[in-house]
Amino acid sequence: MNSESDGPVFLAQLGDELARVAQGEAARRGAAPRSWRTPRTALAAVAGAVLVAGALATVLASIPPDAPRVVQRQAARPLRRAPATAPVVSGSAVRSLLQQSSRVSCYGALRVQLRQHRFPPYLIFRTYNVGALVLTNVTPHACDVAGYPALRLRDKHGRRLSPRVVHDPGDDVAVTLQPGQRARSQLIFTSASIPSIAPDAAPCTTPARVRIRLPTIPGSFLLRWRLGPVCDRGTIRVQPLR
Amino acid sequence: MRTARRVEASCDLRRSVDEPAAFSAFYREHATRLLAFVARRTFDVEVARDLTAEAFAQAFRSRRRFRGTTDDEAAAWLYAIARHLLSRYVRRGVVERRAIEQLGIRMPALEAGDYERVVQLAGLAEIRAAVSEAFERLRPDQRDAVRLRVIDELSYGEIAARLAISEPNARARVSRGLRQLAEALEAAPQIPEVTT
Repeated sequence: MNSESDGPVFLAQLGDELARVAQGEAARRGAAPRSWRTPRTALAAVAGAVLVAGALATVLASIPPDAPRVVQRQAARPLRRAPATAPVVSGSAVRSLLQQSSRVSCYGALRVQLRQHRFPPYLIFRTYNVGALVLTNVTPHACDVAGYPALRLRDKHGRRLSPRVVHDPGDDVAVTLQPGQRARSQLIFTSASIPSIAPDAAPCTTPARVRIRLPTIPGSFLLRWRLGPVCDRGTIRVQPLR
Repeated sequence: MRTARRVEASCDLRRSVDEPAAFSAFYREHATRLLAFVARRTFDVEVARDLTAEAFAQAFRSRRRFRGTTDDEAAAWLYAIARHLLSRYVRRGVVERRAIEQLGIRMPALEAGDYERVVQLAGLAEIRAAVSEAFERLRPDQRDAVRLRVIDELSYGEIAARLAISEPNARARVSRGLRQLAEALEAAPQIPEVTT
């Protein structure tokens, strides 16, 4: 092993974290070994031992005295070896390498916000609402985002709202964000159910939180939803990031 | 039978079933190498960190399911988990974090020098140099096809239209180009093995 001193620092910290988790589990378990914790397991083990001994005695009795002695072994299992870390030549590796020569993922580089669209006052009886997901590159390096964001809405009781998600057609291409630059994805969603116009969209409630996942970025972002009510059986139209 | 297996079971992963503290030794033995392994396959330091953490977290959580007895088998088991996570990451673009969250592991932040250390550890710079060199050495028609397909992510139909060739021809050029890149990488002598 390469000496730990010149390895990445986070590796040692991760080791400490795992040790802490392991310690916690050992403390929870207490001094007793796991399999003898409950009387029922102990009983089952004793019963099992008696049965096995009985079976063994029967088998031994059935072998004639001059039969050749068979060495009992487990069936040989194919030995799996740890793979060598020789140079990688898989297609996906080459692909990501070449892509990275021109692209950098925005992982860890974004501020994510929701913006509300301001409607003129005469549109007060509309049944839809418009907002935008705005991603800002807050690092001093350029990076790329792409695709349609995925949203998961929950109300204040944690119940999931499930409006139909429609992807607006558009160019699903990578957008390069220079430092400080923004990418947007517009969201148009059913926000009210008016019996004569959109009767099927009810019930409409104001979500408390939204979890956002971006296709090229690991993990998710949890935001407070500030764009007003969303109808559970309405639609939510999402545009690609641009 | 059971006692016989107990005596034989000298590997740390196996021991950690009864003494969770033994898992630390297992981690220390394999962490650096596994990190290099995933870093070489993702070329992304943060993703490599997350995948390493999740692989160990899953190994810890399900260590009772490990049926082997030797260190080699334990390593193979760990790498099988890592491979599985990697393939999911490649397919979905998202690192799974279920075991990390379940165990309540706080993900350590990347220090300033960590990027360079991982790049050095996994020999990423050498691989990168070997790939770009091999890329430049490709035949021009294959290089264009690979660039349009892999970097610009065009469909084969679009590549065919751009290069004024048929679609099967475009596929053939991309495939031959990628195969040559792979061969060049395999033959590159300057890429060192990751030692443990």
